[in-house]
Amino acid sequence: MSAETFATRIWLLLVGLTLLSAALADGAAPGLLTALVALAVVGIKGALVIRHFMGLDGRFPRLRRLMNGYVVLVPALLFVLGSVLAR
Amino acid sequence: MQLTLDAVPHSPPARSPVPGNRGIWVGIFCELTEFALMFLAYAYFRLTFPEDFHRGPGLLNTTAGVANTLVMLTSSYCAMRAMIAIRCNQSGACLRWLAATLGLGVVFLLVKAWEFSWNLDHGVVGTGNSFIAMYYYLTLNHLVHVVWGCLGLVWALLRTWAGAYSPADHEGVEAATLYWHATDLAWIVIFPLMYVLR
Repeated sequence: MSAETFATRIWLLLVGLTLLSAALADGAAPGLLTALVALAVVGIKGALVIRHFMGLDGRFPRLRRLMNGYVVLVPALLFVLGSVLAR
Repeated sequence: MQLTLDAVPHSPPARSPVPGNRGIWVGIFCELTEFALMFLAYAYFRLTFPEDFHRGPGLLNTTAGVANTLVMLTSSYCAMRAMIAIRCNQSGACLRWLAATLGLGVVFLLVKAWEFSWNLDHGVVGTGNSFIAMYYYLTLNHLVHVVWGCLGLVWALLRTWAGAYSPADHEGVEAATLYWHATDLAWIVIFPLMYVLR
């Protein structure tokens, strides 16, 4: 697969994940489930952007860990503080 | 997935311990730290004023939020294509992809301006509701970073047009696109907080 095709597939995946998140915006699903899915989507989208768009692969392990830590810890913290403790 | 990664041309090895340059990473970490503090403030206010945050997303224009998320992701994709192009020594294609990235950045700003105007028409102002105050605080700060990112892209675009970059040396394009992706990352977190979570 060419680099261009691969980048296009990652973009389509990101668009799909955004639409999944947007589908939860009507508030029909339970709040805790919505928060869990929407914030998990943040982690997945963030990791995809870091790895494939920013190009942080095995050549930059420390930077990659730091950035991945951000997109995992921030949504996790928001889930616990904003959704679990708020109940 | 791993198989396909080898198809992506990389910058030359051992050029720098970080992609782009150290300066842009200082900027990126300052930006992400600033947003992390704002996200903590969001969590605090959400705990303190749960009713405002439950009703808040329903007051906003979700279509504008979704549209801007797609615009931002697509602009990031264009930035990635610009990097692929310059690594393959296609400076003309790089120029076009950078122009597309910048164009979508401007579209983001225009959609935001329309959304703020829609907000004012519908009484969505930053007083009396902590969620709406947080919404303006976060999105206006993000908007500032989009403007910085656009200026960086203009610089990279002009330098590419002048023939300053090659597959061996394209630090400027890489730095400008990295900052753009970081601004996209911040929006990826902001979007569900403002438009999805109740």
